[in-house]
Amino acid sequence: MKHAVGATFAWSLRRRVGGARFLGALAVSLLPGLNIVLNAAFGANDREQFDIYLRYVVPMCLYFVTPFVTMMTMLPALGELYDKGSIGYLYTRPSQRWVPLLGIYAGGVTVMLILFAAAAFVPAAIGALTTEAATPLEWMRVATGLFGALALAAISYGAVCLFLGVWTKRAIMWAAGLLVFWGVVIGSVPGSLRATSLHHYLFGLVRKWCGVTDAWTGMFPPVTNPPGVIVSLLVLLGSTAAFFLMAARTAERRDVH
Amino acid sequence: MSAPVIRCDGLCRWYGEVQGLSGLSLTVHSGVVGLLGPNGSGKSTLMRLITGLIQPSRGHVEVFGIRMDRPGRHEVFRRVGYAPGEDVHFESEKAVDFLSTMALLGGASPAQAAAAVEKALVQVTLLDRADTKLSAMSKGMRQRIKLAQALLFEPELLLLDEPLNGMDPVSRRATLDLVRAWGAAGRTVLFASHVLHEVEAVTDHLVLLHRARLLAEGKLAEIRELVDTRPRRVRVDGTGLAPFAAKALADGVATGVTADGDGSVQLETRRLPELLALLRDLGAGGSVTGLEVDDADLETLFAMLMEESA
Repeated sequence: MKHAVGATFAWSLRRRVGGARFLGALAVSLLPGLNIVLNAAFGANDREQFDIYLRYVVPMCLYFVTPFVTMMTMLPALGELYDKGSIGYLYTRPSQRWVPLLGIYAGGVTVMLILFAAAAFVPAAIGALTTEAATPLEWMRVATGLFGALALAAISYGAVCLFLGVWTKRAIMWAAGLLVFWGVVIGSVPGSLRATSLHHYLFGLVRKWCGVTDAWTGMFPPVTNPPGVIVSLLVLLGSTAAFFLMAARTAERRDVH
Repeated sequence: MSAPVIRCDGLCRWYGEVQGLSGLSLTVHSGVVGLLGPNGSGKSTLMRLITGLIQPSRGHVEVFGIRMDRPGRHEVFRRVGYAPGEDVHFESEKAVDFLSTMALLGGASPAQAAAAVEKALVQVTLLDRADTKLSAMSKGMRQRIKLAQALLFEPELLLLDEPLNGMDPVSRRATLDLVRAWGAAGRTVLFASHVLHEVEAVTDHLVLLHRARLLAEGKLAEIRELVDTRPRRVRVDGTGLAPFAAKALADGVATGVTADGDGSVQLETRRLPELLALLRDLGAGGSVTGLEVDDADLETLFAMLMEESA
């Protein structure tokens, strides 16, 4: 089975890395860091650069980069396979349907990790090289914390997109609704409903791992009892397993034309 | 008789209000079977039902005794190769990478996959194009790559949906030879096409579909026997044929006569030998310059069956 998963993983990587779509997703990933670059070029004071990273880059990565990069990375490859009927080539092999799906999912998550690494580490590296706002170790600590949270976002929202790609032809609409509305908006607004959103737990992680408690955008409201790391990890990984299982079950039933 | 390779029982499939396949019951044993029908007759629907890619609205399919609408159906693909009608949309892949992915998904080790891929590329005579991207290949070449992925690990059952589309004459001949050889080796091939002479070239065992229904099934000769009870059209060219036509009608040998302006007549008959005998007897009375019986080939046979069905 490992060869079967590995084969679709390798195909999935080849399909996604390079090309206009990948470059577009890379541009989206690097957009929040542009603020650090501009400030470095036009001479903001040192401390401000570190604040920009904590209070602008980190939230923007969660609000903006996470949903768009996830959708841009996960949905097209799967959607094209179903739309053109090519998924039939993968489903007429002596492997259960979840096997190629796992390879496609793993390939997508790997690509997202590359993009999210760029989103977290490139601005931090520029900040560390151009200012003395914080020690390189401090920059590294917050960037690693952000990357950790983004990696969990890739894993959990990647599974959501996998399920949507297998479930419906209109995956992009559903994904926009789920990732932007349910994820970002519901996860940010006050009230108990936020606990149903995966973003709530991602916010919990960046609070603990990056020390971020506020954002310039104002969309990062203080929470009196943010979820702890263990709870956040359990929810994010649990939802990943649940959405992957739903994708696998749906794949067994969905017609391929 | 050996156990059936494919068994369809009361198979129905609806696409909303459109009927894709209606009440098809069919048993396929080893050998080459031609699945014939015009576009939209249900060939691809049947192929997808057999492979479990779509689920029946009613009825069921068994392949090698395994129900294709139940869990565990993937096991059957150890013995089945399928070349869909759709083009290969892995454009950015090299032929060898695409085939390796398919072989590895089949459970092979990398070494086994590499050997199987090479063998399949040799079978479709594309070994020299192994490193060519599919996007740089012609439609005919991609058809052969589709065939190659179906041939991996030499399956006992080959399902080929319009495999000759876009192929040049040389590739067509090679593919038809390969299908014939596959059948001669005791394996099973279900060969779907809407081009009758392609099917005639590989088998005389036919399944005819029309408007989502099974029109006829059996050996070509058996299907012809079915047709023998139906009226056939005979066109006689010449002059002075009126007495012959009148006598044929009067004797009940012909059931209908149409006279063309140029002196030739078209007759409809269920008693062809008697009609030909009558023509011979009356031949001295006129001048016969041509005779055409419309049951000369499979094309005609198919048209007649479709007419009957309609």
